[in-house]
Amino acid sequence: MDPKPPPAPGTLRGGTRRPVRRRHPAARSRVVAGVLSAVLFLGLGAGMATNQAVTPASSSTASSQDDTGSSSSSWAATPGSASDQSPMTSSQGS
Amino acid sequence: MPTTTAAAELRFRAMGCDVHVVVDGPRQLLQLARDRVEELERRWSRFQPGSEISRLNLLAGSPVQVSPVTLGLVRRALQGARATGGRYDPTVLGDVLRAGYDRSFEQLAGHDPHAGSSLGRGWAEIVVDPAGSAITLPAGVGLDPGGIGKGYAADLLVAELRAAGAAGVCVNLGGDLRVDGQPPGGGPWVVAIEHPLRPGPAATVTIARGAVATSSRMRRAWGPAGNRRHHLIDPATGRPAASGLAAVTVLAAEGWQAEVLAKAAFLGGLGQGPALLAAVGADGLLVDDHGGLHPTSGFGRFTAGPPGNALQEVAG
Repeated sequence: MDPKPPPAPGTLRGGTRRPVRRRHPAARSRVVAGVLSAVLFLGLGAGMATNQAVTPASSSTASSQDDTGSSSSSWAATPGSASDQSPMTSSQGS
Repeated sequence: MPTTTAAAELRFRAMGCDVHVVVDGPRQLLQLARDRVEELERRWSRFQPGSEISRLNLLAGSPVQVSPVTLGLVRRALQGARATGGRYDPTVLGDVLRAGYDRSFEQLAGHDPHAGSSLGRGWAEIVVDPAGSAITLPAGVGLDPGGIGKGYAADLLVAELRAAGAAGVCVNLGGDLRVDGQPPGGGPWVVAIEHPLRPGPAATVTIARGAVATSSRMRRAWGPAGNRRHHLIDPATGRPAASGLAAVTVLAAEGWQAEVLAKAAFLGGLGQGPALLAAVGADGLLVDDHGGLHPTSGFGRFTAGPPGNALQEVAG
């Protein structure tokens, strides 16, 4: 927890600015593969291209498996079934 | 050491609140849970000078390296602030101190402090460096992760206890609770929502998976009669909120989300609170200053059950 030099590009701010992500080498490879696939598709025709898998652009982004919080737009809990059991705990406020 | 598998529960004090852990699994997991809560408190308490949060506040203006779990906490706090348009603001520490909450709540009871602080707010300028696991608070800004820390701690514990072999877990830190898996004996998790103004529960909910959190102006309130203050600061005024509500309970997917939404909906009042919850698919129960109950449109899905297990009717 020592003080460190000022943050480099790629850091996140609390505001609306989006992070600058560095692509993982494997992701870059997927992008290149996607571009090559597209070239094959255009150059060799649809008949041959049906066997080529074009990587969707979205999947070429480096997967963020770090601790970023929730990625879901819904924050809904899952209701339980009906029950006549007594409460096992309570939410009283903090 | 032999492993005992059974329903087990443990109650203890930590993070300035009562902690209740229920596990359907090896009893040894209870000690693991206690150790983890106490470790997180050492990292996140603003009342412990050596905590990571105290260090962040002390060194505001400079990058400070923190543990991954603290990085996760701050990122969630910022996500919560963005999702609520800043109604939830993790940087109201200066306002909290100016309101007098300058020591742990146990020490605050019966005291009428007149603390000062020059700290301002500025969550949007907090810089998070995931690669370096570092956080920079703006100079002159303080972080107060008290509420969201409890919610996120519940999230962490439930995940870790499940990974360690529990078939079901409920972790409740002062009313911020998270459940997952099967409760002992089967069925859903059944949780009472305490009425902030009257004895007994305002409602009883059943939940299969998710979290419940309540923000109440009746808890963590201090000061003499006629000058009572509470910890729910409205960033718009910098003062304890007077939104016409006594408490808000939110049901959400994760504990930190429920905590953020409960605070934001409390500040939004009956006018904006329900819409704020609906915007992210969450539900809740708002209790006004007269004790009237105002459930969101989907709240009934959680109270479905036999008579006596649903929302309690209360004369306003």
